[in-house]
Amino acid sequence: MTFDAIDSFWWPYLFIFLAGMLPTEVWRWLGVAFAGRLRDDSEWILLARAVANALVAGVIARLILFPSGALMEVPVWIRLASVGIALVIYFGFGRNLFLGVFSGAGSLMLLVWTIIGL
Amino acid sequence: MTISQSEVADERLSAFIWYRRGMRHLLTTPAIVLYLSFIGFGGFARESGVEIDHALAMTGLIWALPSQVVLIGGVVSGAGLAAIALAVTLASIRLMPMVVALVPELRDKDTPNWQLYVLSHVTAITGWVFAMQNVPKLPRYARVPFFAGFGLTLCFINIGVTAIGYSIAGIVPPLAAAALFFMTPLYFLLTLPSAARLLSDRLALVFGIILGPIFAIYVPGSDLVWTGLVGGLSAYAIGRYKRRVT
Repeated sequence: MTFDAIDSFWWPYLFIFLAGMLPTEVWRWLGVAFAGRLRDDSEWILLARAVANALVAGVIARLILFPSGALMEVPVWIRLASVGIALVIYFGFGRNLFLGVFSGAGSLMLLVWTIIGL
Repeated sequence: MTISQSEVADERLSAFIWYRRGMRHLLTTPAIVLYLSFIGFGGFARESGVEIDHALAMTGLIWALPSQVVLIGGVVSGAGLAAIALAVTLASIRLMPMVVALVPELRDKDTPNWQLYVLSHVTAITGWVFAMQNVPKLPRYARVPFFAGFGLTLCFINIGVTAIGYSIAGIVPPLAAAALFFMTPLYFLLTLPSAARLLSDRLALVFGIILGPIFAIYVPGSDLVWTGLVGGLSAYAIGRYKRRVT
């Protein structure tokens, strides 16, 4: 059963529900159900926090090193250099998130533009 | 981003006031970075040949960018429902430990379960980092309405942002699109350490950054599961050992 298997207005929505929403939502429901049985200071909560932090950090590393879409065209070293610049600006200006994020994205564009000349 | 002193007053304020205080954070850096990501998603959906109504439904119903990207990737490749559902399942396992960690921070003694289930839907990385950082500073009774004001509204706004991204796709030059995609991981990278209070949380971040790319090369597909298990378990074990010793 593919996305355009049934020619009707409702099928794509059912497909999005079954193939996209349900497989995502089930983990959230399990999370609430699981947390409901635990005390707030339970060791399991601390373990869940550690696993969640490792997973999110893994997602970040993957987004930077193995991106999809337009970012794939930017060389790895430019991506890493821009991360470095963002970190320096972020901590240099007293943990200013806005400056950090936009200086990183700005240096990415500037480096690609001056060195590769897109 | 930070919560001002006036927000931590002694008197008990109504839930609606806390809801609106949550909404006030919708023009902060994390929210803006997410809007830019959803501009990117709208463009990606259009380039992939997905209709605009379906792209908007994905944002509202799924509310997790990696899952949405996996779904569209599957649709484009002509994969079947079961295969795509399995891929999306694997891509969203991270949400379970995230919700398990967030619920104890959110709930008050008498918080009804249905509210936690509703809020779990708007728990994705941006909302999670925001909540883990800001919610512990608030009185218990204020946390659910505060996070609801931020999370539910953020999800709703981004349905509109997806439509904007869809409409302007093609106008955005590729280099600008690349910079848009780059902002999301950058924001997570800068902001996560301040949400990680415990030693085990901080170690888990470091392990995840290192292990993520290694597992992505050696066990592509299930790399995130391994990153979470190996990185998270060892960070927890070291944290527990340190707590016992000191």
